[in-house]
Amino acid sequence: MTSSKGASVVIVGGGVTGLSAGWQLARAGCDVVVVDKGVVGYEASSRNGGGASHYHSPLFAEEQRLWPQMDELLGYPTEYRRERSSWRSPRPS
Amino acid sequence: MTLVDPHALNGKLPRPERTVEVLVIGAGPAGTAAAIAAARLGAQVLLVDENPVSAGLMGLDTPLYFGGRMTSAVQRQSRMIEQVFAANPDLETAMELGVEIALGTYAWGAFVNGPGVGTLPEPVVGLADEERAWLVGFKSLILATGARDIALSFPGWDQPGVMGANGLAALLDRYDAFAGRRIVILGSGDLALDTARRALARGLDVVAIIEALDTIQGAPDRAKDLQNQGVEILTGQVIHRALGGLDGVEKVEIGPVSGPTRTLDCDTVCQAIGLAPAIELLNILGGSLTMDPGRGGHVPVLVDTVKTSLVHVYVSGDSAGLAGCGEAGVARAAAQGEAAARAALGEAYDPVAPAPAVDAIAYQLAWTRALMSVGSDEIMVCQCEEVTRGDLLGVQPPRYLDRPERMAARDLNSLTADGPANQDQIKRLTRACMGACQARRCREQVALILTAATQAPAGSIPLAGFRAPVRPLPLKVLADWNEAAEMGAGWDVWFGIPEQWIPYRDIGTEREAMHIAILGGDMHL
Repeated sequence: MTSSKGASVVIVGGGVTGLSAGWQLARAGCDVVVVDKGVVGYEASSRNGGGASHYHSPLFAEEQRLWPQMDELLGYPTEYRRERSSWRSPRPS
Repeated sequence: MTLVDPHALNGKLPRPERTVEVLVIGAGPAGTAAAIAAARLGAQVLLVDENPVSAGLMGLDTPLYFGGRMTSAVQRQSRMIEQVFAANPDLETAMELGVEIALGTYAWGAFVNGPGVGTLPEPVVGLADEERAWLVGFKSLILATGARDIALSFPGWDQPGVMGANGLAALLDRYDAFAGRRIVILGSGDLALDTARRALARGLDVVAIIEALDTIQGAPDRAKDLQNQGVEILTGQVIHRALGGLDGVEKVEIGPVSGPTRTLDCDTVCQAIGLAPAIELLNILGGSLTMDPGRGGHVPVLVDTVKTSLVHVYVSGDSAGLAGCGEAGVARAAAQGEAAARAALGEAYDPVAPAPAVDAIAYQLAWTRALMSVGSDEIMVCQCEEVTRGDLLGVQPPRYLDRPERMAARDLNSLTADGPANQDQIKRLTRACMGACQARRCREQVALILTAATQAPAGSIPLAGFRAPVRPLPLKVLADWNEAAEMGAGWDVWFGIPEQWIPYRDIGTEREAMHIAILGGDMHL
């Protein structure tokens, strides 16, 4: 594909990280191009539990803040649940 | 300093149980001929075929579109093994030549080292039966996996009795277990005419052959022969609806797209509009594929007619590009199989001329457009995931979710304003093709509907990728394979973070210590 249209920011990689960055920039009024070798959200982003969603990640607090807003922000039902399944953990009595 | 990731799998995968010199997948005309030729050249050969498949898989229209029209005979797999063996006399020849034959054995994956995969001790194929899964290594692999039925949707297609041409051929000739009597055939190409001939030969009624285009598509002499036997061939007409009860189809309404319709009594609607070469294993292997409407759609890139882009992997028969119908097709497939065996063993061989090219995609598109003109948007396209034509064209989320107002603004055209539709993306957005039949009933028709709806050039929708396992096998079968101790040692936690199993709400509370105590400290699974 060729295009004469430039952009202020070019993001390489259309997974969840690249798309999120592009979406936030576009929302803030920046012109962005995201390029990907294949289909957006196709590879690890389609099947990864998400290292960034772990509480040891420096992005954890922000991720926890954003997740519940996703349906409304994107206008798409993301199937977010606050409680992910727990493993061999006791149920609160 | 050399850094080694202790969790990397390189060198840890167990070697397969055994390695065979020539592994042939598929015991149809091509695969059987390949196995016989390889054995005659002195090679050690394993010939694998999934037939007879379990009744459960048949009910999922796997691997062929059986449409629920099998008799209860298919429930007895041991009896069916005898039937399948007897249905192909060449298998006895192969056996006498020392070919090892594994019937009722599924090939669910095939793997070689390449980009992104460097862990395999040798090239392997993943096999399974009803009890267990295992790996077999190979020196040469010949894929002769045949072709799948292409299904198209119309009102009432989601009931027993609507099936595909290859599914019908298998139930008639390989299983001898077809439960129908009166058949309406969709399509009038050589596949449809061959289907009618096959049904008449078994004493069944062919009620009518329906052709959406204005002319008969198959060989005129064969059409004439059928007409002389009393078969009605109706051109410029489509199926408007299939009507039936709990046991499926009882009658169909047919007529020109704009009407009027008339009703035909039948118990089976056989879709003989097209076949798709079975390329799943080559796709998973990483072999090069191309869209070639003249050879049946997405097909292997061929070198010297039987070699693929992968060293040691060969193809023949319909899976190499449709070989054609009837005796000529069988002969061509067998010649390709023999050529593949010779190529695999380094012997000279005569390249096999391909079947005369027929633009399969243009024909399938013509039928798709005609059927999209009858019936409403409420017609189910993906039966497993309940995605309707309207859901697909509107790129709507799955039905079990709420549909926000803003979703109504989106449709296929707003999505494709950014570029051509990609079926894998549509799958993620709508769940079309995500169900238990592994898209056998909707993969091609979703591509055709996307093509028709976006006015994209025929064949331009990228292939929706396949993933192992390419058969919907029970997890208990797939899970039960021998994991080496070195692999198990890597199953601790991601990134060495031991606390990842602690629920968020318990982090930072006294319950955190309780989790750690229960999990045994090191969190090892």
